[in-house]
Amino acid sequence: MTHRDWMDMAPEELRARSAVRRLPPVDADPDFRERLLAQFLGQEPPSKTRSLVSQGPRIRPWAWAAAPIAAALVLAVLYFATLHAPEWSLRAAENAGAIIAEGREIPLSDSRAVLAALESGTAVVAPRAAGFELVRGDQLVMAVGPGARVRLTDSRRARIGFEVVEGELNMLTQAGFAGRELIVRTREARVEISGTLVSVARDGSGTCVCVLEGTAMVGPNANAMEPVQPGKRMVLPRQGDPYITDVAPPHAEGLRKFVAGHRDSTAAPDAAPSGN
Amino acid sequence: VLEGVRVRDPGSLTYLFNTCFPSIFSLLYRLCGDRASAEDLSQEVFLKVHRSADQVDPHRDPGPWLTTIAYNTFRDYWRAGKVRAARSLEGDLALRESLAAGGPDPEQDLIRNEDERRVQRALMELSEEHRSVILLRDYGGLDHPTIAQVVGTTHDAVRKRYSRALKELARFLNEDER
Repeated sequence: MTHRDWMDMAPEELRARSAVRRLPPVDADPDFRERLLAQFLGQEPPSKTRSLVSQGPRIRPWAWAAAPIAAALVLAVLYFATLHAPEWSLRAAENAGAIIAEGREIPLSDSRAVLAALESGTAVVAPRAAGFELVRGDQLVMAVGPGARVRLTDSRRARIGFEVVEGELNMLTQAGFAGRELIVRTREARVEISGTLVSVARDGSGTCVCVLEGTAMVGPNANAMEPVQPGKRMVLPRQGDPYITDVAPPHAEGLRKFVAGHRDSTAAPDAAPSGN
Repeated sequence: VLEGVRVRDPGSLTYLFNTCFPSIFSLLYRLCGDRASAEDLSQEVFLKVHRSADQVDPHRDPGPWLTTIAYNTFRDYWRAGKVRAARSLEGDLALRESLAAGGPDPEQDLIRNEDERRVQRALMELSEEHRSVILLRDYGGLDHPTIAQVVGTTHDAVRKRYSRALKELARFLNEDER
């Protein structure tokens, strides 16, 4: 910008320029920043020696003897992992569009790629026009709402973790879920589910956790959890204290339709714990 | 530090990240008007930075190099229609309000946030080229020759584009005020 350019500016242009200059910096979510830094440092350098086996250390003779034992152990671990942790599968309407994962579009018709993106811990964004469902054997159905941004944070045998960055996630546990742990987090909330029908929705104003069946433990963090009973919802605003109120009738109706659809299709009774 | 970045030394990469991430994230957010897209793009940018770390010139300020990567990543995504323009802008500004609520003067904070919302809305009305040149100049603080290098055009073209963009932004802000 030269002096002459500055002199040529109309007053409203000078005001517009000042307005942009006054825009404050935008802070990233600290968790995101930490994750990105870890990812940045954990990247492998491109190309080079990765496939050059001959440059690696020589394999010692005793290692050859141990190899069959190691292979058997790996197979056993894989067998038990497969036996006890059913894989995720994906359900989506035809032509439902594509998710976005790390800026890449992956069509929902390519379920293998979508599941791989999820299982790698990447945040994925559902198409704005249609959601999709993740099904884990006879344990769990998770319906990711249109436009929702979610991340699978933990998928171990007895523990499943999800993060809802934005949008709605409905969960329905099924017969095989008993004894497992499902934890859903948002920026404001932690939700512990042990067998129930729960919906977690998040937008700019905060998080709402609706419970239609069973009981979920909900709170802003692990030290301040409260039970939320069927028919109730906990609202965790960005500003102010969390509170519990009734589930809004239209939302309850939507959740009932969701559960009815899945019970009809799977014929598997809910595994809500006793007392729910 | 930049010699360390070239060989991907973790300490140097951490320093580069901590130094540059805030401004890159802010710029991407202002370009997209959407936090989720800014996060996606930041991931992509730092992946590219890591891939091309060995090309850093240790004798030059890495700022323009990083800004070029960020701008190109944004431009490609925007043109492919992948950026969810301004979708959660209101929500993001609500976050800023909630952060600001703890400040010493909540009334001033609210006025500032309303101004910010108005300016961001007007920026999102601009074309991608106009928005970029204004943000690189007045938010990123780059001079015209550096912007020309970042967006891949001539100094003169940038000067004209900036002038047109500023006129347009002033018009949108005036319309919004009425």
